[in-house]
Amino acid sequence: MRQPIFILGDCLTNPYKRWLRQFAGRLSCFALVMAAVLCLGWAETWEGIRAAAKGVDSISADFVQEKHLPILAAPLVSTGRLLYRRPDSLRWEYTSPVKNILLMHDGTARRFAQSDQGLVEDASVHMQAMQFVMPEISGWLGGRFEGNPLFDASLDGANKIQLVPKDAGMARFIQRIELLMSDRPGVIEEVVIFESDEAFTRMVFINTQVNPAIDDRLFQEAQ
Amino acid sequence: MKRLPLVFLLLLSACAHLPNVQPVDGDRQSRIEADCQSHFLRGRWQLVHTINARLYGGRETALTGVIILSTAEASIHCVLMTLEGFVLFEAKSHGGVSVKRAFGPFANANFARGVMDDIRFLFFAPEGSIIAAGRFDGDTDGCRYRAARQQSVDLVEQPDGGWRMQLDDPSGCPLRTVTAGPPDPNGLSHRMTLDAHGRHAYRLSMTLVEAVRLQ
Repeated sequence: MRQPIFILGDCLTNPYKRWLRQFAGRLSCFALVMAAVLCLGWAETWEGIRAAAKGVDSISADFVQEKHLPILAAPLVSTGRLLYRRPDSLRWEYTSPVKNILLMHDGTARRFAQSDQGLVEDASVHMQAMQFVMPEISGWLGGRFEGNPLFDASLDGANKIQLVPKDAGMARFIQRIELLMSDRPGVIEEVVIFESDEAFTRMVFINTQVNPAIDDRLFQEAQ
Repeated sequence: MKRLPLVFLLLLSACAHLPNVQPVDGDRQSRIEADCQSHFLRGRWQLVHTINARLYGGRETALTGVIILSTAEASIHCVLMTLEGFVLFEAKSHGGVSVKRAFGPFANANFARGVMDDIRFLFFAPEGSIIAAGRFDGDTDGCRYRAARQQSVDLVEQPDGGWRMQLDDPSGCPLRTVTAGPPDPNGLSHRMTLDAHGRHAYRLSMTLVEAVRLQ
């Protein structure tokens, strides 16, 4: 029998470290997009988006995520909630089918996943890289999509923004992101991340609250 | 220097002991063999697991694994993704292994073959026949299978209703151990742990999220 997984373990300290950092950056960008887009203003123009974003300091929302893959008989459905507070606090929590929490606060990133021993911290090296990406969110929160170093943004109709990766490496992970904005200013209704035309993730946000008071510990503690 | 041969002897004999299998009467042996076989899937299935991987060096990470397998065709289609849903690895095994999508450390032919070997060990009956069925040490029922490359597989029922399976090399040294909880009516255990032994040991703790029998 061959031993597949040690390769991953070994690689974490070798040339793949750089790749993991890049990937983690992309993954964390995804996480932060999830947070940041909720704070975007409803608008038909970039100016309108920026104006609406100015009044948003925190966001709380539940979400339903569907993962579509060509091989799946039915999409995988996950649910969870997302909390964000300016300037750099994020809690991205899956509650089902398995608890999994990503916390970002004060420049540090931690991730916890449910296991037989309860919530166990994922100490993978890529988590260290996530803290480097958090500053990106300030640009998005400000509604400044134009000039974003990662994505080319376009307004598609009155309520849809499309983001296309600029970097070919990132485009291998994410073909494009579509953001469907709610009629309620400052609220995003749906985000679809396309890995390919057939493989995509749809997140639908519900119970969205703008500027709720959020306890600090929710960004610091997994429980 | 005098110690060296002793060390060699110890090493040679370190893994040489496989548990004894006490014979039982014919009817009971048939029942035990049927029970052993019931732990392996039949037909075409879609399985989704959450996988907590404890890697060589003690690092832990969590993934979602999607497997489409067919025991009739001996085929596997596997997708590994982050818990957030990003696909990191996708490959098929049907005769050979073909990788459809893989990034970074997952873009490695040995990794792909190893993943398929582990999936096959977890869910497919061993290729070889049962060479013994009866009472194992510890007073539990079980079967011994012949496996490829002169290896052997012991599958033993557990007192809690679960089962344990171990792949040993020709010297009797363990290569893989699966510990599974009690199976549901479809024969699927909702909790399984795969331990890979040896120099680069790792542990995969798998929780079944979804199982769909496909046509």
